[in-house]
Amino acid sequence: MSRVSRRRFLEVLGAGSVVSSLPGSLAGCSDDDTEVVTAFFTGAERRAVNALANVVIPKEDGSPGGGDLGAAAYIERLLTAFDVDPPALFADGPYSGRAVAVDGTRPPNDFLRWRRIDRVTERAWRIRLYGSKNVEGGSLNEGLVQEVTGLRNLFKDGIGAAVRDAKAPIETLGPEALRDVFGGLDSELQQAFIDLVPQAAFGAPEYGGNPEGAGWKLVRFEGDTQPLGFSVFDEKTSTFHDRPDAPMAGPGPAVDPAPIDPETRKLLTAVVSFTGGKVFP
Amino acid sequence: MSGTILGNTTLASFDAIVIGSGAGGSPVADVLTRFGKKVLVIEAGPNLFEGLDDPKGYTTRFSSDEVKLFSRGMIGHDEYVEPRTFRPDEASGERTKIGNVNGLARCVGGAAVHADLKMPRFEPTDFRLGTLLGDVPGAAFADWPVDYDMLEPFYGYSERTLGIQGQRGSDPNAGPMKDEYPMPPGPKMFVTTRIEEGAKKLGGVTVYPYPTAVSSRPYGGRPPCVDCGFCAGYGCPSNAKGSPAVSMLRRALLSNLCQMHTETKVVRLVANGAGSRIEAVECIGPKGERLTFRADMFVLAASPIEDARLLFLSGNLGNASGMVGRCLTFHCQTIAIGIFEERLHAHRGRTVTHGFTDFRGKPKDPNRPLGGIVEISGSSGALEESTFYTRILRTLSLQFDGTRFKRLMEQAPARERLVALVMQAEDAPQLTNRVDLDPAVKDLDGIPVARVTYKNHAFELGARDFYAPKLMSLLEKSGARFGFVAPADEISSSAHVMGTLRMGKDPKTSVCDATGRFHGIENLWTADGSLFPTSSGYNPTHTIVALATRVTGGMVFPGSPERALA
Repeated sequence: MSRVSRRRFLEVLGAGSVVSSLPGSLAGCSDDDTEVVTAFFTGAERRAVNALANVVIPKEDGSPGGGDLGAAAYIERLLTAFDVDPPALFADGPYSGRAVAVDGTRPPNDFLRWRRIDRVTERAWRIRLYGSKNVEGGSLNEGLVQEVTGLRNLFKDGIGAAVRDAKAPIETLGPEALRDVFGGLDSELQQAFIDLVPQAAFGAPEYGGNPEGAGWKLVRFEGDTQPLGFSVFDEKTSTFHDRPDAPMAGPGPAVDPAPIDPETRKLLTAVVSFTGGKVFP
Repeated sequence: MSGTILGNTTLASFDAIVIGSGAGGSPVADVLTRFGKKVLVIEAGPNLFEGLDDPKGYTTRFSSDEVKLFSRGMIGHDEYVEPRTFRPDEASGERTKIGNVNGLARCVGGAAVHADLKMPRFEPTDFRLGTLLGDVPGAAFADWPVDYDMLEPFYGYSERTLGIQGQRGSDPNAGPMKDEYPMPPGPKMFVTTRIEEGAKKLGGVTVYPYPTAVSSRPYGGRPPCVDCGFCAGYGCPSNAKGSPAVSMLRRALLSNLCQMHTETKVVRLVANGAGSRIEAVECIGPKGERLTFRADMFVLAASPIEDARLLFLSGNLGNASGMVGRCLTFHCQTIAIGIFEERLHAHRGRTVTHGFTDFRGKPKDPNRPLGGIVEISGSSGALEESTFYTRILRTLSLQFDGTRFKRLMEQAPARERLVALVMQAEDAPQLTNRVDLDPAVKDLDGIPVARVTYKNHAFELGARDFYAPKLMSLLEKSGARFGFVAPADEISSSAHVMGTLRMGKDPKTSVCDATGRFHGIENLWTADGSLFPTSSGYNPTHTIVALATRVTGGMVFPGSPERALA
């Protein structure tokens, strides 16, 4: 079993300020410093990753960007997954402790442990992280499938080169210049950012991103709500009732906090047109 | 509980070996042990039910964790180390894709663990489409050698044992049902309310509560579902899902007559020289070691693609008919997506709480051709939602528009405002749609992988063309602002995989007989969706469980499988 102390957890995040926190989001953490989280990036590379993450989710006034939402910490955690045992790939379950049961009890945070993996999964993820040529038995079906580069090499080489080639520290660049740097990255690395930055922002915080649920708060997503859920069962009457703050069976809020804007409407119209669908009157 | 071996670890000899622990394998283990047989279950995937063999209780290690189960595919088939290959037809060459092809969950409990466990019964006519449709050019429709009446008591048994919620009589197109469901329906998702309003305006559609193996009351020691929203694609952290693993397999493991080896892959069935009797199975164990197990009876329940693969790996076993691997079917899913201005919060709830069967149609009815049940389906969590937007934005422009991505996530059209009407249309079985071994591609153990050859027939494409406009009308009348039908997949994304070892009376045109036993192999049975001669237009899991129970009842009580229900 591995546990992360609250202090160490926040150190690893290394992100900017967190907008707000969900109650009990780090419930279950101990103050024992028992897990080592390896550094993979240099300081400059880490800052560059967070800055480039803002191309995927831009930082705006009063609203966090991809960097604030823990991109570098999440990616670094993933890239060094095999530095701990069990590897930092799949958090355990069933509960995170973020929500209480209907009787008010709060379960411990099982998400703080990493799950043991089997030999098949281990080979698969070593290939993903280290590359097919760097893993014993990794070059499956040579000549029929493309070689897998390995995320560690992809990030180390790509970010390292970007940091070296930049005219100024990447984290000091403005949005336009950042977009230029992002556009100059290897296309596979760009796609890796597009895949991993949202994972950091909107995945469970135990993976290193989404600090104290800031990503979920940004998009008004409740995250994991077990064991409470959205339908509360009353044993006495054998009926369910909705949560007033988050109805399941009933309608949503009277006032939409973020209605569809004209640009989204245009995009949805384009999707509909592309697929032969309709905009209904 | 030991590491990868569960149940009675002292058992050294077995009456039966069951390959697979999913919706087919779990009832097999349960019935056999209930009647005193010593059973070895061999499961390729890991176990996420800690204490499944502990009388004091068990805990699942599933959780509402999109990183684990969606982004990182913890229980999926890995496309690098356990790929499959695909081609639409033989003319396309050896393969057109290597990677993830119709992979089901790989863990104790199989696909029934991660599914949202929708469990409608088939209709009586579903078992007789060979007769009712006659010759359909290019298709191989056939009657089942069992019918609805034979399966009815097994459906009832499955409903009681798993704990299926529902309301008898609420589906106007359903077959006769002797007993009421053991639990009433749970709460209705809000999207259903909107679709019901649209259905009333459209006419001809009766929305009804979807039978589901998810507790709506305390049942069998499991709590009622709390509608957490992480249902389809996720195991259940609170054990409200009554999957066969937690109801039937657990009972087998607690019987003291069952041993289960997990993370263990069967790679060959060893037969006698004549190929008429199975003697042993050869496996690769958790550390890559080679293992051999023997028994008197053997049951294949590893899902259709893997079942067929294993027979080919075993020297084309059981294939005197040439039918092994053939007539693979999925469901041609027609997915009509509606996006509303209103926030529907369809990411909360059980993914699907209601549906309608009016688009299942009737054989040879031009006004209601055979389609399938329609699921009124909710949306997804934020991570899965994000991939929808990133794909669209990448398609529209080479330069990723992060600002628009952020706005989309905040406005959440694909999570808060979306409903999907998913029609599970029957695929016509075709001899050319098949599983065989890829001639070159191998898995991490050097074992040839399964190759899927599949192309849709005009039969189901016609159903799609017929019903898609009606689904769109329903969305419009329900108040959607945008509506579109998702493009058809070349490789079906359906998790409903059926056929490859079809059952039938004639050994020349079928692989297994009406009892599920292989023609010509005295001690080998199949007990999963491989047996299905046709796919119907309903979710298959309930019929898999019922049929597997019947097959096993027949193993224990030849000629009187119903005695297993006592």
